[in-house]
Amino acid sequence: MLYGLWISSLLLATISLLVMVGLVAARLFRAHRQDRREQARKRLLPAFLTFTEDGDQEAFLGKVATVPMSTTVDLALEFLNLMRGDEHESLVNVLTTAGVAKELISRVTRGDKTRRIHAVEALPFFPGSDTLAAFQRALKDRSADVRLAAAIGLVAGGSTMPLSDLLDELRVGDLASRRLVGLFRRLPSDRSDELRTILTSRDTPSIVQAAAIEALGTSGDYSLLPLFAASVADGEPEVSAAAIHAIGELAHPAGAATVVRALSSEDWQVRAEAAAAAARIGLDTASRQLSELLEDDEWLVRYAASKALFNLGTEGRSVLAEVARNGKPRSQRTAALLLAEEGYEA
Amino acid sequence: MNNWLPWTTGSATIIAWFVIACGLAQTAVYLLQLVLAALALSRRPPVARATLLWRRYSDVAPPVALVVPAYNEEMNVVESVRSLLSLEYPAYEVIVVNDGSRDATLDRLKEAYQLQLVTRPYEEALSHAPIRGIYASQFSNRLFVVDKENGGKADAQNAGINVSRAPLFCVIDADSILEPDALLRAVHPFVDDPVRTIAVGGTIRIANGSEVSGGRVSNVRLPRKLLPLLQIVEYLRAFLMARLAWSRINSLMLVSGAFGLFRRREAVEVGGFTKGSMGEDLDFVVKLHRHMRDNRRDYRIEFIPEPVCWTEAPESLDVLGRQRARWQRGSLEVFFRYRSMLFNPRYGRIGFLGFGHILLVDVIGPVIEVLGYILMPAFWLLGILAVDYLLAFTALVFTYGVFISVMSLILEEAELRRFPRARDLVILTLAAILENFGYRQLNNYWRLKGMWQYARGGTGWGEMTRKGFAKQAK
Amino acid sequence: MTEKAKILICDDDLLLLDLVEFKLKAKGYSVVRAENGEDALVAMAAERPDLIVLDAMMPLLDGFEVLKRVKQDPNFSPVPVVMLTARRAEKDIVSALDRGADDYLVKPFIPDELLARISRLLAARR
Repeated sequence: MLYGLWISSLLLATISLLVMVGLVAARLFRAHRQDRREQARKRLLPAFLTFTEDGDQEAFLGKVATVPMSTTVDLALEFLNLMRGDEHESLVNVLTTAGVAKELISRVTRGDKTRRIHAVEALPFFPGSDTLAAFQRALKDRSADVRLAAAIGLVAGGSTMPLSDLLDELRVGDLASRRLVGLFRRLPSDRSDELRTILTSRDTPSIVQAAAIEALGTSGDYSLLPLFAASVADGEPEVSAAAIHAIGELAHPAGAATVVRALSSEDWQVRAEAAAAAARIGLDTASRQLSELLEDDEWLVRYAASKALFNLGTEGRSVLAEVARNGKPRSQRTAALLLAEEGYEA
Repeated sequence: MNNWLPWTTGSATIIAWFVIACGLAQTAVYLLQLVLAALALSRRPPVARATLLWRRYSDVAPPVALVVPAYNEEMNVVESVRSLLSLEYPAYEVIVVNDGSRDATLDRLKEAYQLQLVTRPYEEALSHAPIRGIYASQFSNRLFVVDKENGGKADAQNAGINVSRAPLFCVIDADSILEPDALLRAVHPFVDDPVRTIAVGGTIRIANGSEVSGGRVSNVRLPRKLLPLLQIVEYLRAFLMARLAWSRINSLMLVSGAFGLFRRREAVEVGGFTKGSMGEDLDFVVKLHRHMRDNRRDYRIEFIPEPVCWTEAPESLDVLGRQRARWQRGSLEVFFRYRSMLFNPRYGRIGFLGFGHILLVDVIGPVIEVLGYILMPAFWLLGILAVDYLLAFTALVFTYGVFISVMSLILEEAELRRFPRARDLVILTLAAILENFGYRQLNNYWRLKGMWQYARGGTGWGEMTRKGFAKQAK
Repeated sequence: MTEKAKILICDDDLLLLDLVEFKLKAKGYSVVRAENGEDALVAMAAERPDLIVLDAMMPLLDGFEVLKRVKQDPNFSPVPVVMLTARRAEKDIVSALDRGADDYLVKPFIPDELLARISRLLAARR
């Protein structure tokens, strides 16, 4: 056995060194290919620049034909990422003719994970039914990242696939990514009722609920208020906090009652969000409750309350100044510090 | 062997078996690491290009506070702050903590950024030496400078955490260089698994030899000197692969203090960094593990290889030796401070694998190996040990060593491919072989030195803490 | 003569520099490039451009700091600055305009829009 240890070690060390020799050779080959690619890129770059100026499709396509497709794809994506507007549109058209969209679609199901996800994330530049079909296929991908990118592509590309089906495909049960917010935000506004349904459904995980609220919160749609209020009432702390935050974003007086109730929530995150929301709504009547929160056990709540009082304007500031003079020690310190931060003498 | 009493040959054989068993256990751990690292690398999420990263994460990435402790850094503090202010990240602030420097660190900052004293309410969540003042900059609304009395690195970091308001904070050394997209890459687990992720570490790379311009590493090159070159292979093997492996099974024990991203809430719950500790980063992560396990919370401490932080490695034996002795003391300190976690079923893998690893590699490993270097040849020369034993020992410390070093390099090249030229690979392969003949033994010697210093306790201790800002890249 | 105006573009994205330079030259402007904030300030003093196009996230000095330094220096402060950056947060836009930025465009951008704003700013200066 001892001798075996010696022999096996020699064997393994030799094998590893041989593998390394192979890798060095592979690297030399790769470096050579890389050089060629860079040269091709250099040749192609002027064609792109000229095209954005003169829009001459034939000249551009002629140049593209002289370089490998991968070079065209790489440079195309860089340009499309950089620009918007008409020149972007005409570039998309000529690139579609050049076969870039087709190449990307074929990459969606072939090659390694990195290649697949790059293709899926680039395809929204080339909208169309073929692209949507490719997204549908990518929705079955093994990699969760690819599936999520495909879902975003589908939603942004105008697919009518119901959101709940989409979430099933994503296997949202074990996907808790904050990138869901990005997915929900891309949903066209006329489909927001689907988000509402998800929000009210009992078996939606709380992280998905919170993401839905966050995405809906920036919509400025006041009819969402009752829904948010319901989420505050029976949600997990994170859902309640997100809902209160969203109510604050809407800044509609009808949210007042919910916010006032949330000021005395048991969860400190909800209290902190409620303080900020009170200021956004301009809830003058809450200044007494806010000044009580200056005594809260959680620093963040105290800070949010002091900030909210300050942002409430003249009345809030005078309450703050009063506390800074005659309040209980903790409130007094909180108020004084905030006034100093904002440049006011206490 | 006939002129020796049977009991001498008998005990020599027993000792030899013990040394070999210990070496075998270490080798087995390294092999396991390689397998896990290979798994982790092949299963890791696809790497995005920088432009895509911004589109993907800029809307959902949580705010981050960079906490940068600075002690006597007048030479490069302005440069480092500049490079930190130009990171690609949607919402972050830079909090430089001047830890009572005795040089002109604060003055340099005041001058370069036209700092002004401000009032900034903050939570007294962690204790630390008194803050003398908080400054904001005229030039950048992302920059805050905390001026405080001296209290050591951990103390300065705690002050920075207190003053920060972001849900995440990132500790970084004032003398290392962050890649511009490092934060955006490191935040990935916090976005994709926001509930469970509490800490994320990234790769620490050695900048010696590379060209640095404009506060960024512009041209990656290998160092010309031997010592930093050997450290590059060592970082690949002992830090990159090991961390990938342990992160894969959620028992990562160390997120480097030179670059680590943490959730503020849990950091405050465990009381921040432990003051006066040698390896405050190791101590901190172990504390996080213990806290989360004690409270039966589901959590992740992750290592992802993409975000890169560059650091300057010691180039002289003297400085390197001191660094390693310090790391060794740090490991021992943590091992004995949290010894109740060792093999404690309550802490699961952390107790068995994490602490078992420290016990094997940091506590008994170096002693046994050095004993082996002396005793095995001696026994054989004296004729009380069969040559097979000597061969097995040689296999374990040298040839298996070569295998493991080269395998680490192979994994790097197959999955990450971060060294630009084919020539670099050849040089690194040679370094990977060479590492096991001399450097490995030197390392063991420094570790023993660290143990000796630890055993003697007290002396030379306070001085190190005050000085304690030399690189903690481990 | 707007056509002869000299424009400094600062960005660490080389492709963007190529594109904007090409577009500006086609319109008859002369162009100076800088790849980081420090070079931008150096070029500012050496080349005395008539207008600056400035990215935010650059090595050495970020664009907001360059902007502040330009607008604080009485020699340079009349030179119009157009921010061209991927940062689209309200806070960033407001802070740039506060510091005296004359215009703010978000990447991805419309090249013709950039050109139109540049010529408007140059015309207003005359």
